[in-house]
Amino acid sequence: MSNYDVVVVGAGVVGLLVAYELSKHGVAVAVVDESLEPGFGVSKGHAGVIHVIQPPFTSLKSVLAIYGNKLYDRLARELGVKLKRLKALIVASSIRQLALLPPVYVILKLLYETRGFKVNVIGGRRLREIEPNVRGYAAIAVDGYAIVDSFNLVYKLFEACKSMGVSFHLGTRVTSLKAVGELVNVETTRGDLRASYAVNAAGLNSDIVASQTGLRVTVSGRRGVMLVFDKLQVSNIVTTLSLLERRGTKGGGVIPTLWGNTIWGPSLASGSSKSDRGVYPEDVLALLEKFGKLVKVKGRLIKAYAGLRPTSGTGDFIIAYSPASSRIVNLIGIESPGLTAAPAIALMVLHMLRRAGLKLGSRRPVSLEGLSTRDKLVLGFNIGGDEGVIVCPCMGVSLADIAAAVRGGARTLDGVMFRTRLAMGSCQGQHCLGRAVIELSRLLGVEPKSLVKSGEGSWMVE
Amino acid sequence: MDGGVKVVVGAGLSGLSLARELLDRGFQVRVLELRRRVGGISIVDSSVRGLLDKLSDTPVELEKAVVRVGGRTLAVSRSGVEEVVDGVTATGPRVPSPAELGILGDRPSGIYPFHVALDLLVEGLRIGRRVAVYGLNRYSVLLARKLLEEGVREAYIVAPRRGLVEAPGDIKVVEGRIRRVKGSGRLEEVLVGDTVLEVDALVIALFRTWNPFPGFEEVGHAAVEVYDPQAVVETARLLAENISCESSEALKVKVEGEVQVFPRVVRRCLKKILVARPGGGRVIVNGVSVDLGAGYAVVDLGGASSIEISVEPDLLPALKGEAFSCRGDD
Repeated sequence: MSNYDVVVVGAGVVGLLVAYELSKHGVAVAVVDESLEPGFGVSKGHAGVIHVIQPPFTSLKSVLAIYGNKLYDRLARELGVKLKRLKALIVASSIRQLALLPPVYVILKLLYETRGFKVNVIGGRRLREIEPNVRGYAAIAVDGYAIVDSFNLVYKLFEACKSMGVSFHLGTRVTSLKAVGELVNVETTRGDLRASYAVNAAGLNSDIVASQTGLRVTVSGRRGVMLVFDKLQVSNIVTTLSLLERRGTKGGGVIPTLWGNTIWGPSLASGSSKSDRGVYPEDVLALLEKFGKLVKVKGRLIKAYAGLRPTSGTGDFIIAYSPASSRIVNLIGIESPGLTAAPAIALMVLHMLRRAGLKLGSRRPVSLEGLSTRDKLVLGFNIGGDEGVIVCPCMGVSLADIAAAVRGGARTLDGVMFRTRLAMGSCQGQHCLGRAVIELSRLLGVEPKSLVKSGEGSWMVE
Repeated sequence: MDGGVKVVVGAGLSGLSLARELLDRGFQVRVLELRRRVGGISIVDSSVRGLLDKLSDTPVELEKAVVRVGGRTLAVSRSGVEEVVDGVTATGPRVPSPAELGILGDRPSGIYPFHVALDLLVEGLRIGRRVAVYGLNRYSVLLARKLLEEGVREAYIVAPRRGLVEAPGDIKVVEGRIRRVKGSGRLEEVLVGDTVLEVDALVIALFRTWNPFPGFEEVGHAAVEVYDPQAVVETARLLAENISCESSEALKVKVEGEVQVFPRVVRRCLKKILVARPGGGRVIVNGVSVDLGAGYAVVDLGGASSIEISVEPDLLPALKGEAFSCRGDD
């Protein structure tokens, strides 16, 4: 049986950030996740937005989002992850909304300018100047939003954690988590682990893990659908004023991505399920209805996907010790703006563990691997060898990039795609997936028929 | 890259044909190919094997990708990076994504664009046991055929509309549009109208035109939506003639309705053009009704100084597509 200082359950962005911050302080950490790769749960199904506005304004998630938002620039620099700051434009696209604009503006200005985020009103002409594709009379512009390469964030955290000695137990489900005196026993489908402390960052399953520690909570999965277009339609995050009124979601928006796409969404679908990531006609129609009038469509719809929000019964984040022992910290209901709040949550967990007696050493620096082939081509480097063997011409992904992804822990096709952006361009993989299957099986040293797309049962070829 | 050399991107039927036509006209030509083989998707078509063999003496640089980054078009290979200036796109058709075709539901493994199914087949890998191929056209039938030959147990063709080709008897044809796919890991079900097909693989075999390189002319499937190798060869011949035309003066072309005209810019010395519409039917070219037969026709211009093309009126309403459904001509 192995002994660790801390076992983290869940290798999503929150679990990884907790492990990352702990390991920087020399803490011996193990991370357990039921998926084959990190970030395959809640973390793969969002739009990669770093938020500012999060009603209700006194909630824990609202406070942590603001704190987390401010930690992102340093984090992105430290890990070499792309992050772009931009505005959110809350557009009045009808006369009724225009009448609503002044009071909403005053409230937002009062709430957010004191916290360091500029809030302005811009008129119709200025709006057309900065967003020629957007239709509207005027808008409230909120500074301090950002888009982040969230897949890259997960993988850089994973690599950094590994380089600092974090032990990963993937494809491993926790069956029991119990504090016994000075220790926490973690039983899994692949043997037992022992630690002094544990953190439950299990996302959609955080309620199940919490119940093992004696904390009774419920988490439901609420589906959000996103549409991806292959051209940029906006240069800021654009949404309409009316959307702020709805409960349970910020209403989504029209969101530019760092690689030239546009995302519409996420929506809030009715019903709840922890496994249904399907996209249904009514989801698509709802998004078209919502944003079709707001922006002029540019580019083709290339993808529709859904993510699941792990929503707690209270609707807010629940960050609490287990009732029986302060050696276990539970993170429940970390839904949107969970990505934004994640760095702040990690620091909060660090603080809670220290209060429970964990000793932290001094911080260590982090160092990570270099540029992708695409980055080098953009910068005008001359490349050759395996870097010159382009597998995915749309996104400029080379054989060397796939090999780096495998070195970084990719074991599945999705793992390679999320790391390298392979097959995520205009042609959606028609020129690369065949070769990618061959090369991936070669690099992993397995038969093509034992390759999977993401998890068990998702075989690629017979 | 050296001046005065035409760079053909793609060594499929259209790229190789164009290269041959240009070489015959005295041009210097380089052909670059992403894959480690030539022939593109036409290797599925035994009727053009002889032609491909004949064209295979054209020198081709294999495993050399053309990539668009930061506003530049680069040829990238093991030996380094070059800028491509005077290029022609012969990269074949784009296969629309499921989302674009209005196919919703889960996102399991086992859904492949035509090219991927073919690339895996070439590597000796089988994509599934029971396969549905979406699209009823020459290429979808040939692929379904091949899959059966390679040991796939059952092959369906899902025809979004009545096709211009017949599927052979051992391939079941299901008419209708795919609305949903189901499967938690691997594909389990495909929903066509109210019919549920229990298949573990779905191949999208519908083609769209696509030119990823701004400023390059395009040829073959990249330029017109046709499902006939003869039409592809024809575009290569027309483009070569157009390129070698001394005068750069262009004819006026006016098109009404969803009709594709090739080449895009018709130079004055070009005697013929290619007119295509995937559903076939009739179009009117300069007042004369032309039958598009299997989806295209090569039309003699007879020295006209401008071209006007329209779809025969009764067909127009049927062509109005709506967002997020298949286009009318699938």
